[in-house]
Amino acid sequence: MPAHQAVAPQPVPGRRRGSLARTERFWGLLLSSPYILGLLFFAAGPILFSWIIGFFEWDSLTPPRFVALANWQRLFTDPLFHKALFNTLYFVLGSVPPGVLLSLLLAMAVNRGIKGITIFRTIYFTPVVTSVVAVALVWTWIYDTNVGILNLLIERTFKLFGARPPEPIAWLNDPRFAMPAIIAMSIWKGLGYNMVIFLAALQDVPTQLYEAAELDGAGRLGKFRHVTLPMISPVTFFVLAVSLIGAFQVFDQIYIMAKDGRPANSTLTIVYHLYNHAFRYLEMGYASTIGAALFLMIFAVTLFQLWAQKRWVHYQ
Amino acid sequence: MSRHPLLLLLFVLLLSACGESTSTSETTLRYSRWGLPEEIEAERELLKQFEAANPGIRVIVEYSSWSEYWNKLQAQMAAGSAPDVFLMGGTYVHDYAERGQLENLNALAAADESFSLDDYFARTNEVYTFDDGLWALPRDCNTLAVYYNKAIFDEAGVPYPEEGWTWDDLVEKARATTIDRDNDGRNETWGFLASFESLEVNWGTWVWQNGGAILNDDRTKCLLDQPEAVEALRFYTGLVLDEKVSPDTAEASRFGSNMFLTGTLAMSMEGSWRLRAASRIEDFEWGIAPLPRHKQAVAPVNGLGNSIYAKSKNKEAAWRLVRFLASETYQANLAKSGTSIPALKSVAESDVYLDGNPPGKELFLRQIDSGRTLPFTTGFAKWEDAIRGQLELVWLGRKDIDTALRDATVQVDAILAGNAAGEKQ
Repeated sequence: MPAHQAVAPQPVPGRRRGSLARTERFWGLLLSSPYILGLLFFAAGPILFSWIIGFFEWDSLTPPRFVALANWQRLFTDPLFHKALFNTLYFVLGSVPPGVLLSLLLAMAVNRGIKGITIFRTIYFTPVVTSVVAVALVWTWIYDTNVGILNLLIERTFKLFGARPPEPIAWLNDPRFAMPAIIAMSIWKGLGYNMVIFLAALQDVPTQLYEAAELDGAGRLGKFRHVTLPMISPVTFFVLAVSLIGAFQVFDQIYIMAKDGRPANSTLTIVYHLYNHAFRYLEMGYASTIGAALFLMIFAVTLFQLWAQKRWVHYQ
Repeated sequence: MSRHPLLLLLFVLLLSACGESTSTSETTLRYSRWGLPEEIEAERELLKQFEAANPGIRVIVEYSSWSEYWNKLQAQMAAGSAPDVFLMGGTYVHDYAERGQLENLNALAAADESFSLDDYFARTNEVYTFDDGLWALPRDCNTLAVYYNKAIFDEAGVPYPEEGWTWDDLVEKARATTIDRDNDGRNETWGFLASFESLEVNWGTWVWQNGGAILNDDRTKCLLDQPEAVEALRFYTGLVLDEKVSPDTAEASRFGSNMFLTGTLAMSMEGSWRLRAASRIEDFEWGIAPLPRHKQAVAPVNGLGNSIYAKSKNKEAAWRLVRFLASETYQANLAKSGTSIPALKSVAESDVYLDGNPPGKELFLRQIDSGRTLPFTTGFAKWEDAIRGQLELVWLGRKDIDTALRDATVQVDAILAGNAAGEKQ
């Protein structure tokens, strides 16, 4: 650790206050201004506005009416919000831990000097650059009760072993299977993105650490546990944090694959609930409160992660 | 949801470009509707006649799919830039009229001697006449029929449904046409499809036919927990749960998006707007029959209209356009398209609509006469959702019909009470 700091460039005292620093600051601000302005106008403004509107009853067409905490009280008594909260946590826990684990395993699998490995890396990354809508549509066909390839595979597998195949499963129309089906699709879709990040981290681990561990008599598992895992832990933390935030906001694939949270609200998530109130029931105020509550939840989870990471993340 | 600032910036630039093009001397009307691309193409052709008859007015047709249409319209209204004229349905007309987004057409209609509401089906007029206003000019008037697959009926050796048939006949025919040809325990064809999806197309009819009502006459209380309604919907869900002549949702999903069109359903309750899609069926012969009756014969009737935006700057020109959309020229084209029954009675009752393709279209007109309009209110979409959610639990076997309707009634009452409270402020 100290070795790294020693080679890091130190600021030269005295010379930084001149015109060069000012020019640098000017260019820095100028070059980042498109993003900063975009953030201010298109993100910060609306975010602030939605926080305020959460204390109003507003249909977006007539003047808002101040209702103080009524929308927040409604959160606690709205059974559908509770259902949506449960479903969202189900989705988060169902998709993030397995997704992160699988992408790490995948990254290790493609982190080898085999011929043609880039082809595999590309294949695994393809879902990431494909639109969620297109992917969700294709998966709707895969899950189709009648002609879906998944049910066909199950049937063929049973027949192969001479067993009587089970009734075809209505993946997206059965409340027991709809959420797991959407989770599976979402894991598949996000796998490549996390894989690439893990891959970069794995290739960053200095080989001399492995050599040193080997000299100390570490086996493959030992090297993984005591070298790889700690060395990539900052990246694991990043992947975990970003995946959690994304999973809490799940919407697109549900909109395509399970309209209106069907069946029986088993796929109704918080953002979908928000969408219903904002765009179908003309209740922008309550929808904004739902959004604010989701923000607080994500914020709390992220804060917890920041606190917890001190116990398991090792920075070099 | 993607919210890339650059994309938004581009969007804004595009919008400002659009704004410039309207600064010409002629009046440009924006007219928005939902529909398929081919319908929009036909609409554009038709509107050329309007432009020729009204020099100086240019019409831009904007369109989207049904589900996107309402989101877009709401956003445009919030921004104060909705189109001058747009297609309106009962589902949202109360929401928008009450919030001052729609022009009251009474004055404009009174000033135009060529126009009389009496020329149009009263049922459509009813949808748009409330609170001392006329909030849209009638466009079409639609009802349901039982579409039946003659091939399946012939195979089962059962007579086709005909005028005057009853709920009992329906069950009997549905039993005979629910067929498991290879005895594997799974039906290849089903007699009927009972669904909780829509008040209009699926479950509302039964309540009315049994002498019940969905809301009271003031539309302030839900009556689905009353004995007539409970009994009717017990019968209707019984087709799935007890008689097993209708597939449940999961089973129905095995047959694709529309079982009737794919030839796996003997009888289907469908809108009069389905004629065009059905006319493309090549694999089997089909026919239409009136809805089966019970204590009374009553069918749901609903119609679309065209509204003028309250903040439109060209209301005179906009009136001419909605007037054109209600004119004989436009209505005759609508009749030929097979997508709707025209709201103009003279056209609907003429050979232009009653072209014998398929035979028996007169039944639609008879049903409109004896039919009932849907009980639209402010927040209709919301309370229909609440009922849908409860009925779905019955379909899944998780709730009995009595409890589900009791719970639905409580929810609908709360929504209707919320409307009343909002009006007082």
